[in-house]
Amino acid sequence: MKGKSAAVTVMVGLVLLAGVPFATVPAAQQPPNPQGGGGRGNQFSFWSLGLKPLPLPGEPMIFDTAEQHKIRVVVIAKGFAHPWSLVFLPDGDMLVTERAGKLRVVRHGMLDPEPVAGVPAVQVTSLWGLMDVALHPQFVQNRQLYLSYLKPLSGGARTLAVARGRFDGKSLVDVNDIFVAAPATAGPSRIAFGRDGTLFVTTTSDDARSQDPSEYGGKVLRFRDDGSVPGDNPFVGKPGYKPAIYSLGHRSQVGLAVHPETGAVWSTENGRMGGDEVNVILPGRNYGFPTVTYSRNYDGARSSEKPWQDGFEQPVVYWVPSIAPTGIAFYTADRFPAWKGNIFVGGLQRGRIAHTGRLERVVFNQRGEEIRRESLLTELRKRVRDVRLGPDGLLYLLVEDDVAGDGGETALLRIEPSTGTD
Amino acid sequence: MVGGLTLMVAALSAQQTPPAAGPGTRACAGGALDPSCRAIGTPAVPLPAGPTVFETAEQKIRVVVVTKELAHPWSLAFLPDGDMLVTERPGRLRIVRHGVLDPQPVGGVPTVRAVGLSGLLDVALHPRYAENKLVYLTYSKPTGDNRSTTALARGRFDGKALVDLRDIFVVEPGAGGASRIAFGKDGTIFMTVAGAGGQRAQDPNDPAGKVLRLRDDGSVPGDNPFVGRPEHRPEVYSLGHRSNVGLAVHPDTGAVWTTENGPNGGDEINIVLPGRNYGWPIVSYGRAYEGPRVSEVPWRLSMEQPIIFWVPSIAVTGIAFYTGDRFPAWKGNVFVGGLRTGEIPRTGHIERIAFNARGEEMRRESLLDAFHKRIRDVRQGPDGFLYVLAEDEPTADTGEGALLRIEPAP
Repeated sequence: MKGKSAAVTVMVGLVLLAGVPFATVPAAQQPPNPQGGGGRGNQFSFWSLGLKPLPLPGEPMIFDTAEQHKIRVVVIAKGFAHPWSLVFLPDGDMLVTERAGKLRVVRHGMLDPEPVAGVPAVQVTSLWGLMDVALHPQFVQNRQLYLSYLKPLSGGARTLAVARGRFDGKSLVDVNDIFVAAPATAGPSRIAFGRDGTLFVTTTSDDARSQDPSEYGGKVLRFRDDGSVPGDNPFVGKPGYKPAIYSLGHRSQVGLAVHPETGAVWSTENGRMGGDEVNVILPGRNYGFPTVTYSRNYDGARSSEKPWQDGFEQPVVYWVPSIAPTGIAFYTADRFPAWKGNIFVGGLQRGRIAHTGRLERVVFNQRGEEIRRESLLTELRKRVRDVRLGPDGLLYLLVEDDVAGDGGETALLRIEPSTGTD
Repeated sequence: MVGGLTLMVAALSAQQTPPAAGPGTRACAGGALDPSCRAIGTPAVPLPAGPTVFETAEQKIRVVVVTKELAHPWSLAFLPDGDMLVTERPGRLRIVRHGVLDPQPVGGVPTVRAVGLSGLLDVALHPRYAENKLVYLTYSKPTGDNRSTTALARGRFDGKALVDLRDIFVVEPGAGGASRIAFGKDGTIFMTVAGAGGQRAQDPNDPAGKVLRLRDDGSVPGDNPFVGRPEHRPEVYSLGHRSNVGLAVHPDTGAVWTTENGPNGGDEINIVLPGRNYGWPIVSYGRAYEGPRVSEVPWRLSMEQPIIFWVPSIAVTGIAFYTGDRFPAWKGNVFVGGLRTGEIPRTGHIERIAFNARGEEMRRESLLDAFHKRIRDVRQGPDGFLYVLAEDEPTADTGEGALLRIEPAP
């Protein structure tokens, strides 16, 4: 549901012009009677609709939830410029990417005012810029760190790139791009290392390029840690195919994680309006977009004639209406016993209503089939951009108020079990 | 999300083996009545004494508790003088006079079998109620051997009791579950009959899992789509439904809209057209409560697609078209009640859907989540306010059962 077209940028601009995100819609913009015809649908007006954002309180927040009764949500740090992704260093410190182009360090639970130096120059747009960060599986030995970002090209062009560099504790050194998408592609990109040490990279496309094997957009790619293509990729040697392609038919995968026990590659994928998905990515498979999708276009029409057809993979989990899913984490630790085996997915907003982000919890049965879903932290009215399991068994979240401007209030949050004394 | 007791056993055994995604999974995979679900969910929240003000995305509102003395309220109908009839599923018909619940229930209501989610269900007034005082009820009619079937009764309301009450249609072979009724613009009655289990919803010779269309005396209109067709019940109007817990006729277009409960996922709004097949259980967007997909494929060319659907489920109930003037920003929106979201108890709410000029969905908003109630019905009152029936528990005698009024707040 996260938009990524030029039109979306225009709409975001309108919100700022409107200035009153909560105002009652003038009669002229009212949606018409369903099936009644008449009236006029204003495809721009909905960007100005939503709940009021709420400031985070100064004290930890206690919430009751369906199975892990009483959780405490602690604000670790605020003041990020659109925080996008985070990763835990071996000593428990955290690296946080800011979409605006900086890499930040949270040392001993405090945000270092000095950003990490040596980050590549990033093309910053209203939706993309510096995106994901991941550590090499042998980071302890080689200090290699990977970033996905929007790379400025000559003549105002831009494309997705993945860079790696060595982190010396304060800066990235010996930074070089290990992948630069050509033909160019843009949009959200997550990266994650598989258990065999290969690097999975998600790419974005909102059109037929997702189905085009000679294009990089709308795919999951798989590389060696130096950016070369593994010989066992599914389309290696197949004419007309980029050999880096691992799976195709994706729209905008804003979340990616490798299951710590099974090694399976899971992604969250944003539909347009409705049709957000969690997929388990298998080599050579086609996940359908835009040929088949459960979404509607932003003007209301169905995005595809049918939601599914033979030959395309079905999502493991999907959302209608959309929650705009982002980061995904598997809960495999012991601090929240009732959540063990659940997945957590961040959400930016539900049903196209601003300030309705949440953390979604999905419960599976022993066959890996969904049996229930819970929305958490809706009270915060924040856009949840990422969720990660920390080495301490707690959950960490990146949140912001708004997609536009400086993001409003932004924060790194930690979810803990609440003690009886809270 | 209604029903599904049969799946409980499998779900409970699932507790003993580690799930693929991890070992912590509890049971609660048997629908609303699965007892293992009682351990899941946050506690019930008592309704506040005074009005509650909510900032919503497009309209600031105030919610007033008209009464919370109802037992599992299921449906309501507005009398011409503004008083309200409210059905209670355990088997009583209540009246709210001048905004106050009359402690004396309406007399003359048929005996119902109130077990699980069955009992007294819908209530509707004849289109010419002002002249003929006819009130229609759907209910679970006892048929002996601890069984019941869905029946449609009508009687004359004399202000205190139903008189000359008789069944005008009894579903045979027996079918239980939810049943809504609504009068079409042509004066015929649309009646939903549930058909969750097996293939009955696809059998045109079985009233289960259908929308039926009847004359106001229970007879079959000659222009029903399957009249005269062998092996087809003439009262069937549409087929392939699981459990239509909401039904409303659009006040402008006359179109018949239903809300249909999938199991876990696949709740739908359908515009019901004569003779069409809405797919259950051949195609569904849902999963069975214990996890597997209901159908191998979610879609098939010959089956109707819903105009709206939900994944995860919200356990859709009553449906109302907002055509009043009290909430200018909500004009033309559809409101749907929800019992619970994603199979988690006490996550019911009202869902508001906004459409574009072509009747295509543009956005959806959750309202009244903070009450943590099961919303069983939502109606637009003659005063332009929205009226809501809410309860805490699906079957237990504990908890609140309330009639709420939503008003604009200054």
